[in-house]
Amino acid sequence: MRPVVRAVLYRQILFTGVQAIPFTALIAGLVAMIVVVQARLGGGMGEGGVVGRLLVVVIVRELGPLVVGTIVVARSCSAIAAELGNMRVGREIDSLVAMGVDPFEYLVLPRLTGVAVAVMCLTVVFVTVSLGAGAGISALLAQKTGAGEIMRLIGENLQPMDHLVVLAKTVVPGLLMAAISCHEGLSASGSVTAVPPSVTAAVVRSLAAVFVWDSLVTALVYLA
Amino acid sequence: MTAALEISGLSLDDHDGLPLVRDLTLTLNPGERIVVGGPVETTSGLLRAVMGLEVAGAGTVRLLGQELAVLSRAEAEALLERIGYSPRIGALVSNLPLRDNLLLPLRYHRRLPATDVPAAALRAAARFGLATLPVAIPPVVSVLVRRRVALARATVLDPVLLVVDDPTEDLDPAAADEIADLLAAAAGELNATVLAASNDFRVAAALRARTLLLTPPVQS
Repeated sequence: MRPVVRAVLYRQILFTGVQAIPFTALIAGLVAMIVVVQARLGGGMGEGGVVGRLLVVVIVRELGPLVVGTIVVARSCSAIAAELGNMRVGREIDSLVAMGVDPFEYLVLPRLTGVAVAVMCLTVVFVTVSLGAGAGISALLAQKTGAGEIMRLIGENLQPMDHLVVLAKTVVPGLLMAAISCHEGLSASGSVTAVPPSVTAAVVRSLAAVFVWDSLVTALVYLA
Repeated sequence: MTAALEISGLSLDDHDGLPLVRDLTLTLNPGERIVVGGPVETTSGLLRAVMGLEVAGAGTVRLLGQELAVLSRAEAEALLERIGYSPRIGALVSNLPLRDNLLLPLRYHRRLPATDVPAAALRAAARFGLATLPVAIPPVVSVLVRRRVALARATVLDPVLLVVDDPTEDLDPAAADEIADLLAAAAGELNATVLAASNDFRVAAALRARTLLLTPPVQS
């Protein structure tokens, strides 16, 4: 990879991944609280083991990748489509082509890679914060079981397959949502009024891709 | 001797299908300079077609003896490295600092060792009156600064063919005079062939170029 393309990749990881950590951590904590409160008080599942299992099943396998996918679509895919759309209608991409700069290599490739890496890393952040917060909140609600015990129970419920599931549910949707956003942005043509519809299309199609892929993986892994 | 630019029987329509150019034939030998005047859509369309950015309805364009449309990606890249293009619209990447805009061709094509890149960029910037490489992004600086950087970027790889679209557009008379003179000096320094589009007599006068007036074809 040319250094100038690598610089674009680093900027994409910084924007999509690093700068999204505080918001992702906040949502992760809130989701953990919702799940634990519902399990303990709404669902009457008082046992630490049940909560530990529930956190693994709901957060690690499903909500983590889905929520992170939604955050990245909202924050970054919309930005990618808007940026590339404006570059397209402003003829900046034509200028790159005329300089011998390949738009796929310079603009698309680092965004595909950057978003996929960022989604995977953000999901790890989300799951870590969520499980930690879930264990803490669960321990507060049930005086008999400590947070350490709940973390142990979470660890017991984590299967090797879960790692593969998280990988499948982050890398592929990351590539899909980045590809859709780049495609929609680069398809904008005419005037700046073409950019907002391309952003809307990028967000809607990326979300659809994330949810469809997530459902497919769940069906293939847990129904098969 | 291979012509720097050879246009044969070129016909071009705008996006509504209205004719811009019909059956244009033009040859530029190395070192020659020509300024094309006429309706902006026509002259810009011609330069975009020359750079392979518009699909011609008929005819061929050969740049430095090669037809861009039939080249592989690597061959096209190698050819375009030898041509400096400054378009009328969208010359610079708007979210990239001017400095990085100027450095982009050098960094992407890696023709020079990394240590020589800043000096080459400064040399190109100096050709158009910039003592330093500005770090602001293009939308926040004046048209004149953007034009200086765009023209400097067009010459940063020491091209043998310069294709320049309306270099004095939107500039006040003094700035237009200066840019026209700097463009002529840069073309002289590089000994480059020049194809420029402009309705500003100062450009043709400074470049000591022959002129060609394109009139819109009658729609049949």
